[in-house]
Amino acid sequence: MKMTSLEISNLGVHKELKLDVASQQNRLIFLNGSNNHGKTSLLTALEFVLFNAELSGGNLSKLAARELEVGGSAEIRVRLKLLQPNGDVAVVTRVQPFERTAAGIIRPDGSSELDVTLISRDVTVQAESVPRPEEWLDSHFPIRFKDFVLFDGEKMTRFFDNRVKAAIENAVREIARIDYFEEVIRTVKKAQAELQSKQAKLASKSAEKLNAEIAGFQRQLDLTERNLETALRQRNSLQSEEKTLRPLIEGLKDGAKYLGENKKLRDEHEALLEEQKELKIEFRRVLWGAGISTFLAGKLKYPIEKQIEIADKAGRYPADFKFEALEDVMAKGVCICGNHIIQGSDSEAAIRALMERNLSAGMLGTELSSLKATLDRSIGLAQANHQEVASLIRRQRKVHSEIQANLLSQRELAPKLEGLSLKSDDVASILANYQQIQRGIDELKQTIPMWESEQRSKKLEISKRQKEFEAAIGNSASAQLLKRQADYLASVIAQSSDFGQSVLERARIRLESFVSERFGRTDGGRYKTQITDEFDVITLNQDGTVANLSSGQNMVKAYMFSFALRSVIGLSFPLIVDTPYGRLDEKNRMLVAETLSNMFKEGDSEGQQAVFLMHDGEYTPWVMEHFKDLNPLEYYLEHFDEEYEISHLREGIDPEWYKYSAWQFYRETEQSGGGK
Amino acid sequence: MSSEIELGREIAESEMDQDVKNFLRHLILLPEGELTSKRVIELVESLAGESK
Repeated sequence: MKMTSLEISNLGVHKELKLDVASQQNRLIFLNGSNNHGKTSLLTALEFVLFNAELSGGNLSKLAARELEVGGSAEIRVRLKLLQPNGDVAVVTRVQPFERTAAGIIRPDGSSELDVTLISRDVTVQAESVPRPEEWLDSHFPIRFKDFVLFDGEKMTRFFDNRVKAAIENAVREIARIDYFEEVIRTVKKAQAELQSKQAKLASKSAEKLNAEIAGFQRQLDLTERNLETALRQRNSLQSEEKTLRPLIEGLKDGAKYLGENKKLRDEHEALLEEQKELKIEFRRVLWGAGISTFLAGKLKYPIEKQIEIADKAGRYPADFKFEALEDVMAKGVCICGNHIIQGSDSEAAIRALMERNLSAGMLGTELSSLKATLDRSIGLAQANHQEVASLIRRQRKVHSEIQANLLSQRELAPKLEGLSLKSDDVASILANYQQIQRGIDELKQTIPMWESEQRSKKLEISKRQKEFEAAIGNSASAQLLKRQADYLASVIAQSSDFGQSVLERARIRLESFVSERFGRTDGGRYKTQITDEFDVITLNQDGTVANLSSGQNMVKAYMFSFALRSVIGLSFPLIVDTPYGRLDEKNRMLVAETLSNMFKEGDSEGQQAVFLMHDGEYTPWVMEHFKDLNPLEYYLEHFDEEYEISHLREGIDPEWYKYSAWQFYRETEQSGGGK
Repeated sequence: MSSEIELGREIAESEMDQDVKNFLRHLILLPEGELTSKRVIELVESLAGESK
């Protein structure tokens, strides 16, 4: 199915916008525009016409809003023409009226109105409106597939996160028409109940009573089974989440441990550095407090002792010897013992010689002795200080070695911390979420057996009454016929019980095979894509490990999936993408552009149409080069009325863009022969 | 619609009894709005009529 024209009236910056590509066969349409030029309004228009997106007064164009008076009316109108595979054209028109209230507020006036008119390729057949247009639209653009029709490139790199799992499951259910099949079975069950009721009415009062009881238990059983199914789904979903999170949690647990260790080591390191600093101050204090003199005394002790020894050998007087008394004796010539010292005698000469010889030595000896006593005191003090200093030095050495060991541990821990971008708080929050999931699973482990037991009990009650009912309905031909019919429907219900699941499985496999084959081809068969039972879309390396895809590859995978879905489901709605390259860097943007252009060139897009809405930052000459061979239709939105914010659609590249260096360079090289 | 035909094919390839397959294929191909318990009973009655 291809969009051949789009008309928008009074929506956002689009007063009257018309895109007509009916005469052209191009499958790629680029609707470019700088910011605030109306790309978002284009997307809103498509969302409105296809999926009945709710509009507000703010969506009405400024010009229409200005002209709308109290009591007057205005409308947003979007018309989309779609060329169907059989050659017919469907014209989808949706209109939303607006009113201005007495308070001056513009608001929707009732709901939107939809019309779908089918124009046959056979010109003799008259065009006619589809009786139930919403149903027609939902069968061609199922609301469930909205996210697969209107893409937001900004979200594409995160396309396969948990949020999308439910959408994928829904898509697969839609592919398999499981919901429709379940509706068929529900109707069969209803018919079976009605047949039983008819049987009861034919038979006795007791049969009727039994049938009423059976119906009552059946209702309870249905409720129990719904509860059980919900609980089982919840459990599966939680288990799936738990399974997905487990490797991350294991990593986080280690990460949290490493982060904790790292923090502890760093704190210890800081404390040790502080201690080391204090020890240095203490060391200086002790050293200087004891006095450098003490230190010098230690150094002088030995030479002074040596001098004392020399003085002793020289016969110095003892420290308490009174030299003045000897001088007095000699002056008086009388010894203390009473004998006269005869002048000129040998004795007098000997005493005088002794006095002269020891005079200096004696004085020096006294001084030396005094000095030695001082030194001994100082050395004693110094020895005490030495103990303290030595202890300080030992502590310093210990702290130093602890710092070294700490640094070594930090170095050993560093590789484990690499890539761990989460903060401790984030880790704690993720762990708390994980614990909540586990608690949920534990609770369901208790709830599920309870529902199962209830289910068994209700089935037993039904079975018991069923037997009594069969005995009570009697053997009339009519009752027996109704019984056979009801039994037949029961066998239909029983045989189809697992059918939905098996169909779902087959559809899942078909989708998986398509995505895997196409995505594998883009990387030379390096990757294999799996859609798990829990609808996780995972990409594996050849060795079976989960591939670490770049943001560009993730986006490519999302596009592949979208095309695969269209192909497998057999619906060929166009792919409409706002900012198709999202926030990708240049390298990844080129990867996506190249892959997409190859898909269109090689027919992997299954003949589908794509409409890309790009801003000036992402549609560059290099992106354009990739699509050149596909001859895309290029349009741009020109903003021409600042006051009323009105845009027009023009063909080609916005001339304003040629002011940018990339386009300027491109034009210059084109003009000079393609830059060769 | 193509997906109903696809579902019909899935039913044909399933392991259900042939008559159950036929019965379900009848039901899934009913025009929009005709899938009712009354229609199911009519279908089961017509089957009973055929087997007479």
